[in-house]
Amino acid sequence: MELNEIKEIIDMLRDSDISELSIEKEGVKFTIKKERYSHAVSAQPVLQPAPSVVKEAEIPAPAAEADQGFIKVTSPIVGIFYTASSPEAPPFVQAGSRVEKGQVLCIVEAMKLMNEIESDCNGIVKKILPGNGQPVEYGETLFIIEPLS
Amino acid sequence: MKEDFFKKKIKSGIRRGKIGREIIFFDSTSSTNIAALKIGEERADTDGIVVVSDSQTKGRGRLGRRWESPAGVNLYFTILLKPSFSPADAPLLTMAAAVSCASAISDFTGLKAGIKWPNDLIVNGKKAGGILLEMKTGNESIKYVAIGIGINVNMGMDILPDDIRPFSTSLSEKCGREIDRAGLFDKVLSVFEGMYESLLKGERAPLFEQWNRLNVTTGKEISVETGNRVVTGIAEGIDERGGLIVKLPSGGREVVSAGDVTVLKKR
Repeated sequence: MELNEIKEIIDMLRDSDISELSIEKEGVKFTIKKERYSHAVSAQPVLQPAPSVVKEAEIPAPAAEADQGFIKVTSPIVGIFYTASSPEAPPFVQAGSRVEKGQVLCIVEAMKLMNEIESDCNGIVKKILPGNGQPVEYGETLFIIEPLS
Repeated sequence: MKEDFFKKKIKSGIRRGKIGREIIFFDSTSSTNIAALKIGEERADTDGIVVVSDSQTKGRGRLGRRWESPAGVNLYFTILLKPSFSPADAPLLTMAAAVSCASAISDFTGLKAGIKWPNDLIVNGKKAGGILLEMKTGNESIKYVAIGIGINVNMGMDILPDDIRPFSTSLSEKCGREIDRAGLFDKVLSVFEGMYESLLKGERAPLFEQWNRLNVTTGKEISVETGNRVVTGIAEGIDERGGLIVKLPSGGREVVSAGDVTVLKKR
């Protein structure tokens, strides 16, 4: 299927009441979903990959890691994730950093409200999931922490 | 002498409610938010404490940007709160602070003050004040929120650096007379008190109504710097959380949760 054909379908869909459309042609299947708007800015294209393309392995590892006694730090608000207090400042923490309970891990900003998120435990930062400046949703996992007693 | 008079008036204001039940005054401090955050860490009874300073040596805005804070002319203060609602609802305090300042300025000076999303205070198309909130959360509850407010009241524009002067104003510049800073301060606190009480009761409609009435962003062609991206389109309004709904050139819509809005000039 040619790119301009896809564009035409997207244009058609935009002016219609159809919210989701799946097409299978020449062995390629894809789904186009229309949402009124998303809550956080999102770089995701309207065009969704075919469901068969989503591999089990792509489901983020955090769930598995959380099961091993690791702690997930989630975002309490919808906003933009920052690893530092200003563009010039060093990051609060990095993967591998040792953190104390109450230490600031990051800032999530919503509407000029800068939410400093603290670690709930002493531990090691195993993983930082969003990139600096990326939008995050309510409840989205930001950090995986390995607690230390 | 002038500062002493200001201090006396600020401290003697009649405040029957919760907001401003305790006023902590500095002649000069790094920033009222920094001072308030320290109090937030040290004390448990923070709800309603207000920190005021006649000048700031490290006044700052979003992402560490400098906020000019000379002595004797403007208002710099921080309201500390410990609301019982969820952190997810805290961005509504941004709107409440902006509405309180804009309507207090309008009532007190007769100037028409507006709000540029999310909370810039606009007089005569220029920025007359800014608001920066800093929140600490833990265990899914709010430990404290510091609402930092800076209003250019009687400042002469010659103080400002060249790069921000064309976009800035002060209330007296537009009014043509000196404004009573302590009186304006009292007015902002009393309007905010009402908005805060409504939010604690779960009443949001009055806040959204007032924000929409005062906002100067809706309907304009804008660009927003948000995180690593720039979103350009028409500002259509705000969603139930206060996020800015932007109609994109492609016809789609996107809700922006944080960023700097620039209103694009008509070609």
